[in-house]
Formats: sequence, C-alpha cells, structure tokens
Amino acid sequence: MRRELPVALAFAVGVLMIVSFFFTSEPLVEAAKTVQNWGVIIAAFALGLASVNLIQIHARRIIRGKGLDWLYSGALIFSMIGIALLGIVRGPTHRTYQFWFDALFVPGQATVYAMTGFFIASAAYRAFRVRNLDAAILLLSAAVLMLGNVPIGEKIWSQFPVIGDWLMNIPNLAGQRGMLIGAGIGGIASGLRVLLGIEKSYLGGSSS
Amino acid sequence: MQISTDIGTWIAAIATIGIMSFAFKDNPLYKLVENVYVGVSAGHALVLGWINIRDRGIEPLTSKGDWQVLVPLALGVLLYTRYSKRIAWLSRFPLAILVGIGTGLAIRGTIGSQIVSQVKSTILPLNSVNNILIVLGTLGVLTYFFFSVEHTGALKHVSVFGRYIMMVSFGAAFGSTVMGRMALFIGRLHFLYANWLGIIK
Repeated sequence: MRRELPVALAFAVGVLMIVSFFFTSEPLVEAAKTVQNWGVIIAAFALGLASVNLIQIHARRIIRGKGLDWLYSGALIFSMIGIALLGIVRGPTHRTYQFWFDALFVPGQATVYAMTGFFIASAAYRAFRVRNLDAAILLLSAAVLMLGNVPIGEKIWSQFPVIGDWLMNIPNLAGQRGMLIGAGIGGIASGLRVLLGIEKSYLGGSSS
Repeated sequence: MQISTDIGTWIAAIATIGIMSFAFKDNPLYKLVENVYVGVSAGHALVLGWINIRDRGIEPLTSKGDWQVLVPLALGVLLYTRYSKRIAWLSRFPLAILVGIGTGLAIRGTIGSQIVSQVKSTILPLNSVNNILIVLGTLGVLTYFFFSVEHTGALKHVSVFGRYIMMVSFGAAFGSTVMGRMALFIGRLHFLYANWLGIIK
C-alpha cells in the first residue's frame, strides 16, 4: 500500500492533466488548475528540503573537510541563509536584496555561462577533429554558421551569411524536426511508463 | 580612465574575475566565489519558493478562507518526513503528485508542440529543393531512430542521410551556443573594462 497508493495518485493526477487539455469541461479544467497550483506549493516546499540537504552536506564539510573546505562551505551556507533571510523578511524588491542580487547573482550567472564557452570549445577540439564524414559535416556546418553571424565572416566572403541562414533554416530545421518528433515519442513512452507505475524509481529504493 | 567607486561594482568585478580565473586553473578564489554563487542562487530560489507558498497558500487561507490550500500545505510538510525512517514513506505522496503533474504536463505539451505541430509543418508541397530537403531530412532522421527494422538496403541509405542531416543540426546548435556564450563573455569583459575600470566607454 505504501507504494501502490502513491503510484495510483501519480496516475490520477497525470491523467487529469492530460484529459483536461483535450476536453473543455469546466470542472475538469478547474480541477486541473487547482492541482497545478498545489504542485507549485509542494514544489516550493521541496526547495526548502533541498536547502536543508545542502546545509547538511556543507555542515559536514565544515566539520570534517580538508584544507580550506570549511571556508568554502561556510561561505555557501552564510550566503544562502543571508540572502534567504533578507528576501523573506524584507522582500526581494528591497534595496539591500537587490544590491546583493546584482553584485553576486547576476555577474556570477553571466560569467559561469560565459566560461562554458571555453569548455565547449575545448570539447569541440576533441570532437571536431575531422576523422570521418560525420565530423566533417558537423565542423563545416558550425564554422559556416559562426562565420555567417560575425561581421568578419561577411568580409571574408559575402555568401557566408546567406549560406549560414540556409543551413539554419533548411537542413537544421529538418534535423531538429526529426529529433523533436523522435524525442517527443520517446518522452511520451517514458511518461506513460511513469504514470502506469512501470517506472517507480521516484519513490525511492525501499519496497516497504 | 576612472575606476568605479561603487562597492557593488567592485564585488561584481571580483566575482567575475574569480570565476574567470578557472580558465587558468582551479584556485581558492574561484572556489570561494563559486560557493558564494551557489549559496546566493540557493537563497534566491528559497525566497521565490517562500513567495509561492505565501501568495498561493497562506494568503488565500488567511484572507479568503480558502481551506482547500491546506491540502498542498500539508502535503508540502509531508516531504520533510524523509528525515524519520519510520514515516519516510509519507513523503511519497507529495512526490507522486509532483511527478504526476510533471509527467501529465510533459505528455500533453509534447503531443501538441513536439509531435502534431511538427508533423503538420513537415507536410509541405514538394515544389522546391528546400521543401524536398526538409521532408526527406525529417523522414531520414526519424528512420535513423527507427530500430524495429534492421537498417539494410535502401533503409540504410535513408538512415545515413538522416545522420548527416543531424550532424548539420548539431553543428548549427554548437555554433549558436558558442556564439551566445561568446556574447556573454564579451558582456563580462565590457563590464570589467567599462563599468569597473572605466578604460572604455
């Protein structure tokens, strides 16, 4: 019962979400809206659970960690609790909250994403070495598209932007479309496995 | 050249340089900034979560007397039963609801946007090279992922064509991603040189 009931609940909620999309019955749509609202509230509680987990892990690192681990984990816990308290007590539109948000979160996020460009480029060096026709097509497509999007590309050859646009709008579109349809069918199959209780890993390992 | 005197700009500049320093090698400043960034992100997520609980749960209950919100509030609290081995199974109920909502929304969204609309858009008149390429390319990619029949003979050629089309897509995706990340990187450099150091306008 401890596993079957949650599976039945997931099935009922999942079916409600799907059915409410295809039928315009007012009570059905309202019920789906209410349950979605419940989901937002439960997900918010889950964020709290994640934070407790994060604090547990880093508290352990402060106690048992090596070298400067105590400093890094202490900084993480301190900044998390500090920002959370500030936002909860004074609100996220408060001047102090906005100051720390703009000084740490905004540049941090932008720089982390910017730096991934280097790691993508280094991964590309390994992946793009022309060893076969597949890699050659990939390399050529990426190079033409990038050259077509920067001013120097047009200076080198005026047709780079034209070919880049064509690559993006025709072969890329066909590839994306095929992959979207394929992934969509796969996603639906995986979703149905979850709703029908064939896939139950989200319930945890214990069978009790 | 006029260096910024704004404390917020200085903190942002140190955070930016700290994260950029990882390109050279892993170092204490990077680790410190990384942990602070994770902490701030987690704290921000907590604030957004609290706002959702307040606006969608507590507020309707206290101001409108909407008792049904007690259900998700109670279910949310049940998530924390994971910390007691004896009653940890209770946390499966809120999880099941989240999984049910997520899966249901994903399935209905997939049917509409990923399958029906994509198939509709692929049904094109075969009156131009581009249209023929789109139709054949899409069919080729789908054939590549069709594992129920062995890819031999004509099917093999269609499947290989689908693979080449996918390579063009991966290349295009890679190119766009790198361009986007480079734009972000240039934005950070502009922040350092213009807003912080004041070297450029």
